[in-house]
Amino acid sequence: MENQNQMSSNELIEKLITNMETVIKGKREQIIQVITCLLAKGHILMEDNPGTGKTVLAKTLAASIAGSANESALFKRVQFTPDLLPMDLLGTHIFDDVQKEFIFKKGPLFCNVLLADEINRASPKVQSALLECMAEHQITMGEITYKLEQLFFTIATQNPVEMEGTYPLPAAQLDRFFMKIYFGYVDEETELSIYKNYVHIDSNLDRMKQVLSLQEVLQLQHEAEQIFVHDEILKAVSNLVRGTRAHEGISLGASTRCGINFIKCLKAYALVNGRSFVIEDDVEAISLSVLDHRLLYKHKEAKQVALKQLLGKEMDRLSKLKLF
Amino acid sequence: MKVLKHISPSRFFASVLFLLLPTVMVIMFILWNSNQYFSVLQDQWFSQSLYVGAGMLLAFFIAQFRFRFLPLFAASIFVFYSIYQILDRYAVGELDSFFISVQFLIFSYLFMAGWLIGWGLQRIHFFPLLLSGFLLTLCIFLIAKTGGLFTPEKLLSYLTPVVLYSIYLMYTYEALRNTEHTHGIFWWRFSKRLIMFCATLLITLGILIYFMYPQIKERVEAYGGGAKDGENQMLENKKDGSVENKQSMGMGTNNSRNKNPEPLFCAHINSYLPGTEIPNPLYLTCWHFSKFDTLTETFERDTTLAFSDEFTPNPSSIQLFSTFVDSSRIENGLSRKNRKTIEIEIYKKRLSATAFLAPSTAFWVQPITVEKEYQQEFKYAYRTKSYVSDLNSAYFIYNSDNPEIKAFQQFRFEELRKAKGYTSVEPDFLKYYTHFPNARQYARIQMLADSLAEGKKTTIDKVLSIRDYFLQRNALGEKVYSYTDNPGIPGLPGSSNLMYFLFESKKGYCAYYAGATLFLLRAMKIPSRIVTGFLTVDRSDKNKGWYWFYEDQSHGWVQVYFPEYGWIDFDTTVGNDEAEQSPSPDGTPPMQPPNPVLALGGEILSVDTLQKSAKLLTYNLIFKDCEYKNMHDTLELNLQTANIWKDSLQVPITSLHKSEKIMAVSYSEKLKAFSPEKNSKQLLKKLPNTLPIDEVYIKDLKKDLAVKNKNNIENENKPLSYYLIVMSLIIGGIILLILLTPTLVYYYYKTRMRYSKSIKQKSYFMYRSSSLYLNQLGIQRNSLSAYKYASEIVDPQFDANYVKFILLYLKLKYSEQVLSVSETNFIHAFYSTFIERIHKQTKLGKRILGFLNINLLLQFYTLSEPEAATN
Repeated sequence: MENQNQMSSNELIEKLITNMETVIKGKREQIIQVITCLLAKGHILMEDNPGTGKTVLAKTLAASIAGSANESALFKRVQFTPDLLPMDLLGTHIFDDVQKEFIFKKGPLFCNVLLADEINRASPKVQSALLECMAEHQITMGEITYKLEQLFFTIATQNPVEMEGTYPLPAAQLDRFFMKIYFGYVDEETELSIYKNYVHIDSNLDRMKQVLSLQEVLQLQHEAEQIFVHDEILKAVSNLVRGTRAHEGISLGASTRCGINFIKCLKAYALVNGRSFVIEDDVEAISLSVLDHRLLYKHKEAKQVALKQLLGKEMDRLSKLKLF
Repeated sequence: MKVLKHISPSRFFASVLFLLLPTVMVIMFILWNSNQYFSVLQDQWFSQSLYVGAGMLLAFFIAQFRFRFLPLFAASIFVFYSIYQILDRYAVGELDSFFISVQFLIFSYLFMAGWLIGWGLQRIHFFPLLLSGFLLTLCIFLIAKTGGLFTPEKLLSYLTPVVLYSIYLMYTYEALRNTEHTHGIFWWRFSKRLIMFCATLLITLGILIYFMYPQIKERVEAYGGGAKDGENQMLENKKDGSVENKQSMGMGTNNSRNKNPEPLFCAHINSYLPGTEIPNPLYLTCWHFSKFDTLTETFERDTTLAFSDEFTPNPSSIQLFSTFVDSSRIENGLSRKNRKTIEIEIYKKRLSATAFLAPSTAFWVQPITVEKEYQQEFKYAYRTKSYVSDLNSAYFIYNSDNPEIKAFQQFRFEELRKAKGYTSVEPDFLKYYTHFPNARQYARIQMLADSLAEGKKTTIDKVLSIRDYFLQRNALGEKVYSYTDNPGIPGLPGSSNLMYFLFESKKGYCAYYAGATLFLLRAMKIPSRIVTGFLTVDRSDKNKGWYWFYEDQSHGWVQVYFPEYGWIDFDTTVGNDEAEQSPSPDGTPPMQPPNPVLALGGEILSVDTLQKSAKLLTYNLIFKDCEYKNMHDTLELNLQTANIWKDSLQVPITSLHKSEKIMAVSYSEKLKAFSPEKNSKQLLKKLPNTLPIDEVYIKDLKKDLAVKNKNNIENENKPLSYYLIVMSLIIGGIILLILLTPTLVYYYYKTRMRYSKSIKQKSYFMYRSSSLYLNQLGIQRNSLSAYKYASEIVDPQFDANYVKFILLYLKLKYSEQVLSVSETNFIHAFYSTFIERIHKQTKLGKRILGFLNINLLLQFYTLSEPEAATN
């Protein structure tokens, strides 16, 4: 019975990935990581140069998930600018002339997939407002608390170029993103095929099949929580997290929350890869994305090697383990 | 070598601790060994190894700051050379200058060597290999040089440190080179690992030696080594338990004697004081030592010497009753006056069958039988004849109270005073036997010799002055020179044993006295040589002419050449006062068999058992000690009174068959009337047609052949080549072990896999052996995870379903789920198909080469290190 379920969830995920790949080409690893974050009930931060397909990815994801009433899932996009205000995100009370009362006008946050573009351009108060919502899954305006959608997934992007006039996210805020991934450029062949078919990108997007229902996504999220994590993997996570705190090249190490998120991501990643258990490769695959953005390094060299050292040590330990 | 970006003190200290210290220790060991044998080094091994260490430390230090090596090195060579020149030229005092400049030379050599080693360790990639090769060569050289002290323990103790060090160095060097860590905790782990490594190494070697020791010992003993520590410096024990004189005479620190109370042999020496019935015992000589090796301080035989009168037949290779004559020995003995031929019979008890002993100058030998009742006790016997001087006698120091012996002593000294000077002696001969080492430390001996010879005109008086020098007593009446089997010389053997004995300790055993006497004699320009053999002691009056020989009678002494009188024995070894020398009793001598008048060797043509006669095709005939060889005559034998022997058992005449080889012996009085003739034809004409025969010995051909072969093997006593063989065996064994290690490790995993109890364990060992197998084929995992390794490297290349296996392995490892039946079956069937698949796609040669590559195996265990991940 469980096996059958597993099969179906594997199929669902595979379907989602292939579906997204019809639009986003040559980015399988990124797609997998985005889905991992989605299934881990987390949020993702993407960082790369403009024009690498971050927005398209977010759109594709939203388009692949069927929302209520045969519509695709609610997808909102907010372009963050320095003059953006929290109420532009959350929504605001406006006076209804007819009813003679303030009614709450929901902001873009009330959606399933939110693309927060260039998050580092907004002022800190906007950033913190968003991040609070991401953590709490609710908005409190005055005395009333509004619940967000059951499936609420934020894809934030930021731009490493043109740092003038930006508000880099503080470490505490970054901690709330489960992962930070880098998009990177596609290889030559893929790029060529994209150029050939660029006209179809938009039409493809419009013609996206909705392969997953919201319900199924929630089901998958639930399933991800059931993935088995071996004690040794837990120990590896703990070693990594604690290792960042003790490492001489790192001034701010990872938090316990980070560790929890790490485990959630591991489980989701294993599920995405069609496994019912976490293996050492999962740790290797996502630990950089999970840990790197939460750490403050003392110097540039440390950023290059510190995590790799810790990870390499842990991978070495795991690969040599005799568990019998 | 990776160039370090910045100076790292911890790395520096680590290389000092892990590379420099062990290297210095091994070099200290080698220096210590060399100091034992090379007197130039003056026994200062500790400070010498400090020099090397200082050189290495400097090199390490300089490497930290990356100074240029060549200009610095060249500059210091120049500086050292100039200092040496200055020292050599301007230092005051004759001896002082010599020592200071030599000391400085040694210092600069060692320091430079240390520097070179340190530089190599820091900068040259394959330096550990070079260094180990060099050290091993050095060890082999030392072993070859000091071969006289050869035992399995010594062999092992020589080689073990260097071999261990070589392995250690290669491991540590690579480990240090490949690390980029500099934290304290890393070094702690690193040292722990090194300690573990060393312990494993020691245990492995210990086990190896423990199990291999009997074999090694056997090998060593087969080649004539095998004496224990505290060995008898004069004798060597052979494999079959018999004893023989050594062919080299070193001066060890210990000479343990009298271990075995059993006599070695007994001899009947037919020598009496001229005109009396008093037995005149003669020393039995074995080897002549005419050369001295100044480096190792051993006296050596000179087998190439043209004018040697050393007679060294192998009695066991001569047929019974056949004779071996070398009359050129008599000529080489260069003696005419007071000479006579003496007959000696030697009955060997524990003495080796191959050993030959006789008073000098021997020239004739004939193996004889032992009477039946004594065959249990005495295994072999031979007769020998020596052309002996009347003046020779064992009585030189051991003065007897017997007035007749005293008179004889006086007579012989007087007689020898008449000897001519050495002017008429051949210059080559004189030059050879008076050769005296030129080195400066021997000047002291020359001075002593000059003072002793002062005022002495004749050779014999000079010889007597040396005897008296060793017999002198101090003001308290105590002996100045004394006898000891343990001259000790603790830690000092290098500083010239002989000098130390002569001027410092003044105690030693025969080799010391003989050596010192030889040097004094040669310093006086008296031709002399050292001879080893056995000291003859006349202990009882019961059996006159019979002498018994025990192990503690093995001896070395000096022979002095007197023109016309020849070589005369002189023994200057002082009496042993410690004298725990138990007066070993003489045994009962064997009954002397009558001398055969006639002995015939040949092949039987026909036997008449009724008439008791036989026809013999005779090849050789010995009549009254004269041998006629290469005959081909048919002789009639009368066997009516003959005893027929086969394998020392008496057999009836019926067991004599045609074409059997026999030796027929006759003691017949009738035949004694005849006298030997020039050739066999004339002799046979005179002899009766039917020859009366008393004994017939049937030869056992197989046994004969076996003995011959064995003798051949034993005769090939080539120390150097033997050491090289043992060395190369050991080195070859180690190389083989190293080459086989990957295969062994692979089969270990495979066996563990086969006998795994749970599927979890099985999958683990399957994973280990498969990845090791691939690793040895050059498909390395490096720092990849198992899954990535399978999916990115192995499967694209071999398409061997490896990913599926790895996934199942990981499933077993990281989940608690039970595998399905098909999955379990897959794992069980996986390995053979996997290996088969790889076999098909790789060449056999590549597989074999891969499995001989230890480097790949090392990488298999080390390359998944974190630092490799960044490369």
